[in-house]
Amino acid sequence: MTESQIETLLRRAPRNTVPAGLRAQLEADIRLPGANAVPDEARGSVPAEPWFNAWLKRWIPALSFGVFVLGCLVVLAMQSSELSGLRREAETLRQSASADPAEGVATADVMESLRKDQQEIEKLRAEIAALRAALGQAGELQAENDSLRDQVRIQRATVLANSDDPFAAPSEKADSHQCISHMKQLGLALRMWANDNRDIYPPDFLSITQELGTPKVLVCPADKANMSPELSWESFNPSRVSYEYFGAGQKEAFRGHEWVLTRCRIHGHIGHCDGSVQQVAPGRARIVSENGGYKLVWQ
Amino acid sequence: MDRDEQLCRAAQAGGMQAASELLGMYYERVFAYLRRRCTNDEDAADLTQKAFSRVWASLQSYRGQSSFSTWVHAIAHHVYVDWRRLKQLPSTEGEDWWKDQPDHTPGPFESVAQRETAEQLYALVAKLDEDARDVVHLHYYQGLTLEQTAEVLSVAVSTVKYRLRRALDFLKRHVLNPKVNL
Repeated sequence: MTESQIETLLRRAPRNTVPAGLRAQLEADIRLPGANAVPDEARGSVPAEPWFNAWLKRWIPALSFGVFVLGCLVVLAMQSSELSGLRREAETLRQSASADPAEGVATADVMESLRKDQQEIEKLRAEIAALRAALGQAGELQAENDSLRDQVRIQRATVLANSDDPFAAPSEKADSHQCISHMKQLGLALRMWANDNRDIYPPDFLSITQELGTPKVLVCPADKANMSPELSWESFNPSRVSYEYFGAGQKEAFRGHEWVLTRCRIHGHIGHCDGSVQQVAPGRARIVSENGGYKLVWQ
Repeated sequence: MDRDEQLCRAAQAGGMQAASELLGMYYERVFAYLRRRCTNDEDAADLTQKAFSRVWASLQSYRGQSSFSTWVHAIAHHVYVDWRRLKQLPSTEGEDWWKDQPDHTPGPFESVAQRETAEQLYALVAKLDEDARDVVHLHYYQGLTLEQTAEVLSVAVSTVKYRLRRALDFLKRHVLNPKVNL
């Protein structure tokens, strides 16, 4: 079968018979929007929706643009109104600020107070600088003190060596040994106190009266001026202590042999944090501060 | 200015007589188109009414850019597409719209042979895909030109030609009855 035969057959496709009455129904349904279309009484039955839809379709772009412009204008008007309100408020505040003298006085008071604070700060700064300078001098004074003490010890040794008393040297040696014994007892008492107080050394010697038993341990036997046989806690005065204390408030667990705990002012013996006591010849070593503690540095 | 255009102008101005005349010229074609595409007379009649309601409602917007016939067919086609979408029908159509048609062919033998071939052909058209079926209905069954078909379907003329070519190839391939010799 050829293509043209197919096309011919398709073109001759029969039409179905139109149902009876369809034409009349369609005629009755004719609704024209024109003036002469239908009588007025019949026009009322025309549905309004298609006309409205057509009108809406035609004008919707213009309408939406108009609504958008209107919306913009409304927003603009609102913003302008708000802006002018703020301006009025700012003007009112400015006027009230210039008209209120009490507020001006208050501002002057505040300024005066600030000025005084500034002056005080300057003063404090100057004091801090002075204290820093004094702190630097304290180190020098300490070194000078050590040097003088060493000189005294050397002179004492010289006096002993030149003395005619044959028992002077053994007596001195005995005092030195007794001093070492005192310092060992002191070290032990300090560590005992620290063990009972979270491993922190006591703030001073008076805190360890319970551990010491007698105040005689706090006085070097060679310190004849302060040592007396009837020395008791009742009559004891802290100024009579012959030993320097370096461990106030330090942590006991982190201190070893290298750290200094006590020193005898007379003999220069050094009591270490581990409880040992060391005899140090005059001028051979000095104590320096390091990381919050005190160390023995050999010279 | 052709007759369609004159009548259309008159109807736009509210002329009922002109509108009635236009209706008389096109309602049978529109009904035939919709009947071929629907499954029964009732649906086709309803859709025809809807199509003409839409014609009268939008008559004022008709500017004569296409022929009135094309415009009416476009409305009818859209009414049918909307109806099918609303009913959620599949894209297949009734295949037996031709069975009840009276036979007007001359001789008994020729008539029987031709009728069988035509029936087979129309049944094959119903099996075409939707795009190809649309162009066959509008171009062959309704007698629209290629350009008018393209306007109704809102596609290019070349697209209509391509779809027709595809449809004819399909029909030629499947109409292979040796007894029929037209």
